[in-house]
Parts: sequence; structure tokens; C-alpha cells
Amino acid sequence: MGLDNLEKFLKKNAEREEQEQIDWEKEKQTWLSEIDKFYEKIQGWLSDYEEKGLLKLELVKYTMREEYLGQYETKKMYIVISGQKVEIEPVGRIIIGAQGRIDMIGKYGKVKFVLVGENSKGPIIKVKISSNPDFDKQDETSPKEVKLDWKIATLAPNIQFLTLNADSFSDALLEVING
Amino acid sequence: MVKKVSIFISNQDIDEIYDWYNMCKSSLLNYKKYIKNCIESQTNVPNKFLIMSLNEIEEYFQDLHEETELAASFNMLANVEGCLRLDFFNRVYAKKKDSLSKDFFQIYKIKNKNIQLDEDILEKWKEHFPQLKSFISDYKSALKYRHWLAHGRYWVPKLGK
Repeated sequence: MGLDNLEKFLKKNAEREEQEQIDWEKEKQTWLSEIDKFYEKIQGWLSDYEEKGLLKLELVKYTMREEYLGQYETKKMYIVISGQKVEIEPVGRIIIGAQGRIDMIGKYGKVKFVLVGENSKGPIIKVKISSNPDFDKQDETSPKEVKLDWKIATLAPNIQFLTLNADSFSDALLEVING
Repeated sequence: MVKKVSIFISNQDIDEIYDWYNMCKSSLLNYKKYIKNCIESQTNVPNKFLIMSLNEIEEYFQDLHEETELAASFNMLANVEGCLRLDFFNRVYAKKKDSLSKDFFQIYKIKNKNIQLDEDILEKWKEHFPQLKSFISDYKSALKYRHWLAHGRYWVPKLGK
């Protein structure tokens, strides 16, 4: 009896662990693809100005290292504008309260772009307090089901996520080059 | 009549400062462990750490550790200075008869309380105890570091070793 119960318990645990196992290679590929999508958005918004010779966009290889993901190759973007070089640099896939972050750094500051649920207005920290072992299975939406989108994060401590579009990106760009 | 320095014996010695440093270091390590647990369980993560990467959290704690080291070093250097100055006044007020104390007394007669650590105290120690020369030189080099800490670290220090 005792051994049967132990076996059942161990099997159940092993199954649960297998289900909860994160496929980091898949996560990395998704992250790399989201970085590319982010750069494509910027290229779309700024291509007219680039064609007119008012600014220049450059993509360069960038090697990153992250816990769980290891070392991987991605890209950095530079925007050469009004005699300044603005750097757009991926910070990481594993970010507290977001699914990834890219920073835009200019002479006068830094703007943080975060990859979050498309309807997310700010970081959500779940607090699980329950004696019911099935509590966390109730009303829980898997992150894989949430459609992700890039947003602008406001400054701490009251971080909010703002919609990223051509206008908000232009404002952010002006902020880092003009102060 | 020259007014004497009111001597206050500090309640901290070098060992206590070192204990304080070790206590802070271990508290920081425990706090970091707590934060990592919060992150792994996605519960109660303090706002400060939101939208930080794991590398940034590592750097944050590394910076705190370095700040604790600076504070401990500063306290230790200041403590040594306090001991040397206290020794100076103890020798002078007790009118001790050894040659170092006699030299200190001559300096005291001229400068009273405005004694310079470097030229009045350390130089005299070096003169009377040449076997301590290398320790004194090391301490004098460390005073540049103490000076840099005490004055707000607004320049890039040339500290040597």
C-alpha cells in the first residue's frame, strides 16, 4: 500500500515536472523573432525619412548571454540622426514582469520597450495565497495563449505600459536625442 | 590656558567594523536569495525589480556589495585615524617621557589641537620607529582612498595598489 502510494506520488510529480518544463530553445527562437519584428516596425515608421536621407538605420550583429538561454546572436540597431547615434539594444528575454526588453539609448536618456500581453497596462505580479493545492489551476491563463506586443514602459516606481506606435516611438526618439 | 580636546572613546573597533561588514554582506546575500525566490515563484516581487533582467539584478546586488565594502573601508580607515589621534593626545596630556611623546608635546605646544595626521603624527612615528615605515607608507597611500571616499568620489582616483 505504502509503496504504491509513493509510486503514484512520484509518477504524478514527474508528469507535472515534464509539463512545466520550459523549452528554452523555443523561447529563444520566439524572442529572436520578436526582436526582428520590433526592428521591422521601426524600419516601417522611419523608412520615408531614411529614403530622404534625413536619418540612417544600421543593423549590426550583437552577441548576448542570458541565464537559461546561454549565449546567442541577435542584432542591435543604430539610428544615426541629427549628428547623433542612438543605440537600440536588446536587454534580455527573461525580464521581471515582461517577456523581453529592448532599450533605446541616446545622449539624453534611455527608453525601455517591453514585450508584454497586448492588453497589458502594467506589470502584474501574481500573489498565490491558498491552502487549496488546486488553487493556482483555477482561472489561470497560460502565457502562451496571450498575444504579445511591444510597449513603452514608463519610469519606475509606478511602471505603466504605453502603446507603441509611430507617434509614441517618434516622441521616445526625440526624448533621447533632445532631452 | 589651552583647552584640552574632549576625548570620546568610540564604541567601535576594527573587529566590530569587520563584523558589521560580514553581517551586511550576508544580509545582502539572503535578500538576493529572497528576491530570486520571489521571481521564481512570481510572488511579491518588489516594484524596484520590475522590468529588470536577471543580469541587471545581479549587477544591482554587486553594486550594493561594493558600496558596503567602501563604507566598511572608510570606517576602518577613519577608526585607525581616531586611534592615532587619541594616542597623540594621551601621550601629550600624560606628559609621557619617551622620545616620541616628547616630540608630540613640542608639536602640540605649537599647533595645539590642529594636528595634521600625516605630517605631525605619521611622520613622527616613522622617524621614531623606522621598522614600521612600510606599514605607515601603506596607511598613507590608503588615506588618498579615504580622502576620495570622504569627499564624495567626484574624481577618478589614482590609488596605486
